[in-house]
Amino acid sequence: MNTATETTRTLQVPAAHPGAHGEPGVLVVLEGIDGSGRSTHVRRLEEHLRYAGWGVTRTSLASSLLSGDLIRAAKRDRHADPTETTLLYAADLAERVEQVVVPSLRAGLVVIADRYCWTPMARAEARGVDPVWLDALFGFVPAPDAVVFLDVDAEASLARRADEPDAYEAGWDLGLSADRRESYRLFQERLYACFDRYAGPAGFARIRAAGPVEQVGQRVLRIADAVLAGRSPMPPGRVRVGAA
Amino acid sequence: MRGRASIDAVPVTRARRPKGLLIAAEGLDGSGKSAGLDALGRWLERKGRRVHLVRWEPSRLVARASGAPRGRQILTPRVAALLAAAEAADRIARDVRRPLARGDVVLADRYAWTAVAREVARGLEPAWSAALYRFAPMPDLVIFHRQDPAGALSRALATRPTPVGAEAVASAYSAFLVRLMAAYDALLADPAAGPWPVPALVLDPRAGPEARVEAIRDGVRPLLEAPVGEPVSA
Repeated sequence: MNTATETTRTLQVPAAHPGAHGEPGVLVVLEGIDGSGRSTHVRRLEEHLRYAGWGVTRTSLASSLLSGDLIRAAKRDRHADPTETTLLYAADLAERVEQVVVPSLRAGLVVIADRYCWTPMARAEARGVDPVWLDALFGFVPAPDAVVFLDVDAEASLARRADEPDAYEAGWDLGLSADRRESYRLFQERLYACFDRYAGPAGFARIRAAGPVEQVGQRVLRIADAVLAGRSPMPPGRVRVGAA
Repeated sequence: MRGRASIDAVPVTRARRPKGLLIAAEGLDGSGKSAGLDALGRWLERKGRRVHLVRWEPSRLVARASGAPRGRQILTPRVAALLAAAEAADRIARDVRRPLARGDVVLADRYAWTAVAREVARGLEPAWSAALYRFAPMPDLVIFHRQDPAGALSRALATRPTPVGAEAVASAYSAFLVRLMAAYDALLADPAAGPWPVPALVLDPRAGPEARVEAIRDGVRPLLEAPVGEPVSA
């Protein structure tokens, strides 16, 4: 542990790089602020890859068995401590990494992650949590092969919403504005600034995502296809075994 | 205020910390931590300070998860560490930060060093485990009660008797205690390798109870004499 001091400071989330996780599968992450069309494009990408013959696993934020409900409860609590909520998100991601992401990658599947560590990091940072600590905390995640950043700013995201944004997505606990829509715009602006800053060091593939769904979808598929180029889907019934 | 609390979440310098005094007692079972803190608490109260004693409780979230139908397979060391840390963050915000902000004294019967040492003993990376607890306010002083693992084992078996297979339990627990002590030793050798570069006072296991009480007072006295909120040399 004598070198731990240095390591503590340099612990960080690994940047996206094809093959960096060392497993035969492929991990594609989609990130973006709320209302960036992420869920739509995750579905389209999954469908596209399945039609192309790939075995696909999808994993989404807060879907873990042990932490999912705790996160939902924390999101409803206006007085929840942001550090505590962040640690629950980290527990959620750790469980999914260990139970879903790594086993799937080892089995040669394509894993699509609907958000990864950057959404919880941005939500925490927007609430004043130290970014250096966040980087070290989430340093356990495997490096994705690609991170698609759906670049939609706060204005465009708000314009897409006809309904009143929910309290959590509006950062209601921060008391940014008495108006829910204005609070949403201000809070999403903070999240966007975080993503914008993560983009370079984390190796995001940025897609201007304010355009028509079809056009944006094509760009997402191109990024995934580029990562998968040179690989072939598994023949049915054959299990690819990773290095021991 | 939530925003304020989270900005303070990662104390780097003592000058940014709220006034008040945080003293943590760390060490294995049966090393005299509780007795030492009780005596210190009474002494500080006689000096007119308001004192809060906080115990580092086992995580309820982890206990509940391990009791859940599939929990046992899913509850890996990292997931357990993160759930325990989440619960600790909530407790620290309430039981440590608030009294410190009021200028009170908080005496912690085990604190982040024990949490970090336990995660390391369970096989997690020392650097990551240390970083995990950087959100906790840095104590003004860590009092480390040295105790050999064999003593801690006999104490644990006496206070929490194991039913069947006591020998196997003892042997597994003994190995864990040895790893735990090694993790504490690493923190003592280089406190900066822990969550923060905290000053530590190590108590000799051979010293009698009175000598220990005196050593603790000697360690704490300069902290009381220092102006509130000012850096104190170790």
